[in-house]
This record gives sequence, structure tokens and C-alpha cells, in this order.
Amino acid sequence: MWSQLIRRSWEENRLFSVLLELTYRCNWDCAFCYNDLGLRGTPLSLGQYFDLLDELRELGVLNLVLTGGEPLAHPEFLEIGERAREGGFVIRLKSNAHALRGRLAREVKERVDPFVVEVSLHGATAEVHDRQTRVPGSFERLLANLAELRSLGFRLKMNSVLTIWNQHQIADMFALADRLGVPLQIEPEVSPRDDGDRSPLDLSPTQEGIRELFSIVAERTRAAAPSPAGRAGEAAAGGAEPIAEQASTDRTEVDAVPRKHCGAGSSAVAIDPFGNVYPCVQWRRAAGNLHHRPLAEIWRRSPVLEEVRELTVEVTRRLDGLGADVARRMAFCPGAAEQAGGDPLAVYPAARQRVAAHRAVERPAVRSLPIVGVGSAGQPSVAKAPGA
Amino acid sequence: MNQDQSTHGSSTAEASTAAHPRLGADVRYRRLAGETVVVRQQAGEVLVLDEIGGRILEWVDRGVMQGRGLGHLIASLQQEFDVSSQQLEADVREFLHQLQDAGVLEPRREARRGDVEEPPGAPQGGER
Repeated sequence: MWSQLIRRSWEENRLFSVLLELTYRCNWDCAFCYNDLGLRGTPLSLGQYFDLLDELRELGVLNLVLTGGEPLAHPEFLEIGERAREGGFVIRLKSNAHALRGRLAREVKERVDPFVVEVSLHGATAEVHDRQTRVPGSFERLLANLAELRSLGFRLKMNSVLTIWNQHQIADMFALADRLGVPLQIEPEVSPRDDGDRSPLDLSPTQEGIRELFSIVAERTRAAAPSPAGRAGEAAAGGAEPIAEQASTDRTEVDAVPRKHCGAGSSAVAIDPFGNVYPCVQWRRAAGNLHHRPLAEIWRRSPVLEEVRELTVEVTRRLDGLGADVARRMAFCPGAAEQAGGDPLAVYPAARQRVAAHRAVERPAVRSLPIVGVGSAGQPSVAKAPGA
Repeated sequence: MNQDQSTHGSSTAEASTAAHPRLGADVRYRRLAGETVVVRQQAGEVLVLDEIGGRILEWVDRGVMQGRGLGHLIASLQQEFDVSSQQLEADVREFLHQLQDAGVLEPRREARRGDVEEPPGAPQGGER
């Protein structure tokens, strides 16, 4: 039901989800941060955010992601968040939670009331986590703040990025998440910085690390799967549908998409602190700027968004040519593809790595064989990807 | 369907309560392509209402029923449906009960002396 609605919003170009990068300021200093900290411009004012939120409501937007940088570092975060709550948005707050304690935590709960707070976990020990955040004490403070946030009634989720530094702690991180009672999602790849700087990729996990992640996730998924009797009971219950993991615009929301590969520019946009509008947080083609034009006009008339919508159709067509299994394993992202090699239709190394890692997990007997030509020259298009 | 609210019978007193409910404090909703997506934040659930259901929910949220009564809503709907007003009223009351059972609506507390009545049509953004 939910996924069908999301699909329809893609197909009908109905703006449904908006991600606001409120500021690039942050009280952590993560070595692999993807934000373009050198980007300059005039930050949106509080009045402009209020106007934007009114406009988003008029346009029918329901999902609103408040992120950064560290969104709580925006001096008027509470005012913006409160206005968003009053506007009836389902708010996802993506924060490192470093400052989310005491009075501020209580104020966020009362005034912003987010549907979920997504926090960052970068290791299972202080040594590993703090090495990535480059803030001593950040691990212990995160654990303390998480306990406080739970007691205040926040719904929590933890996000992590797999790196060469924490890939030996995957099982420990999941064990920690289980102890805390907070779901954990680990992204298997590091992204380049939004200005094109590829130095964060130096921290990319190894192929073995990605395989281990997929293996552990697969095992946990199997262990958590309800029994056939349980599934029948759920089906009989009918009615409301859980959305705890569905309030995003991720590709994983939708199992089968008839025409468009994702909702980038079709049901979602991302907006940076200076008012630049992008099809997606990952696909950094500026489609317009809110200092010059209202979002509704950008949404309806931007040639960039029109092209992106067409490209998402083309991605589906090409992935269909590879077969459903490969497409599912690849979790292809045209934004990441464009970032990696300039071509949103080209298979990029991380996508190939995912396919190889999935295959290794699903067929452990051939684990040691080179399945995909990772490291081969060039970036073949999706339709021509060898072995993919 | 979540049953965390008490179920409702058909007594006059209960029907009266159901006729003047308000949106649950944790509920968010939007119209989307003729349907209405309703999110119950605390339960982490989503429901989808059809065109008419969405309009009724919006009337409740905007305080239209509190200001003008259920009769106004019934009269408005009767212009579109070829059914008796009695049948329409029964259907609407049943729908409101369902929304309360689902935790989307909650009973509006009784007005006390000195309380300021909301004007008809006033949005209740602060209550959501």
C-alpha cells in the first residue's frame, strides 16, 4: 500500500519527500564526510524556511528530512522544526546526537516531535568510533545521549558507514545496537565529497569487509524472519502498515518499479543550506536556487529535473536488461554513478563490488573466485557491464 | 488495524462523542493523488483513505464538524450520493468510529466554562 503510493508519486511527479540540509556546520569532524564544506552562498533565512515549509505543505509534501552537517548546529533549528511540526510533516531528524541531551532534547521532543531521530554510530568501541568522528569522548557521549533520548520517548535508528577502520567491528556494532534496542543500518560504501574530492574513498572498506557485512545482515534477516504461521497471522490482521523503515525515499522502499528506477527529482528533492535544489541528496545537479525562484516553479519547469526524470526511466530500462537479480544486488544509484564517473547510467565500482559481495554470500562455495571484474579499466554502461 | 483505543458501541452518548472528535496528536496526513496518506507516528503505521474518507478527515481536522455539526457534513455529502440522509449519517458515524478505533481520531475533551470555542474552519495545526 505504502510502496504503491510512493511508486505513484514517482510516476506522476508528485513531490512527496524533501531533504533539507540546514547547515554544514558540525560538532564532529568525520574523516569521510561527504559535505562540500567549501560551498559558499547566502544561507536561507528563517523567513525563507517558513515560506518554504508553507509551500511544501501546499505542494503535498509529507516526508521531511532535517539534516546537515549537524542540523542542531543551525541557530534557528528549533524554530524551523517547530514550524515543520505545525505544518503536519512527518519529520526525520538526522543528527549525530552529540548535542541532543538535557534541555535541548526535551525541547526537540516538545516542539519538533520528529517521527524518528537517526543518529550516527561509527564503531563498537570508543577507540574506533572516536577515530572516525575525530572528537574524543563522542562514543561515550552518544551512548549516554541515546539512553536519555529513549527515556524521553524518541523513536531512534542508528546509521553507519562501513570503512576500513570499523569493518572488523560489524558484528560488535550490531550486538551493541541490539543491547541498546535501536535498529542499525550500515551503508557498505563511502561516498566522494560533494565537491568531487575523492579522498574520503581512501577509507573505503575492503571487498571482504563488504562480504562480511552482507553475510551478517543476511543471517540476521533469516533469524528475524517470522514463521509461516506468523506471516499468515499478520496477513489476516490487515489494516495499518508499519512504516518505521519506509519514511525515506530510498530505492529499498520499492520492490518492483514499472518505469522509474527511483524518485530522484520525481517525488523528492534535496535542498542545501544556500537554497540550491537537487534531485536527491546523492545526485548533486543543481536544478535551481530558492533565492531566485520558488520551489514550485523549479519543480515544474527545471530542465535539470526534467532530464533527471527521463534518466531514471532509462536506468530502469538498462537494469532490466541485466536481469532482476543483478539489479537487486547492485542497488544502483544514478547519483552515485554520476559522482563516480560523470555518467549516471554507468556501472560504478561500488555497484560492482556489491554484486560480487552478494554473490559471494549467496554462493559461499565460489567465494574465492573473482566474480566481477572489479578494478577493470573504464566504466561500462549498465547495459554492457561484464559479469554484472 | 491497531486496537489500542476502546471500541465503540452504538449508544447515543458514544455516537455523540464520535461525531465531534479531533485528530490524534501524533497523526500526520496528506492528500496524494486522490487518496489521503495518514501516518500514526507513535505506532509507526500508515493508513490510506479514499477520496471521501480523506475529505471527512480533513473536515475533522479543520474543526468543521465542531463548528457546524455533523449535519453540515451529511448535507454536503448528500449532494453527491444517492442515498438517504439516515444511511449517510450511519455510514459517516461508523467511519468516524473506525478512525477512532484505529487511533487516528481521539475524543475531543468537553468544553468547560471559559473555554474559547474554535471558529468554524480554523485549522488545528498546533494540535497535531
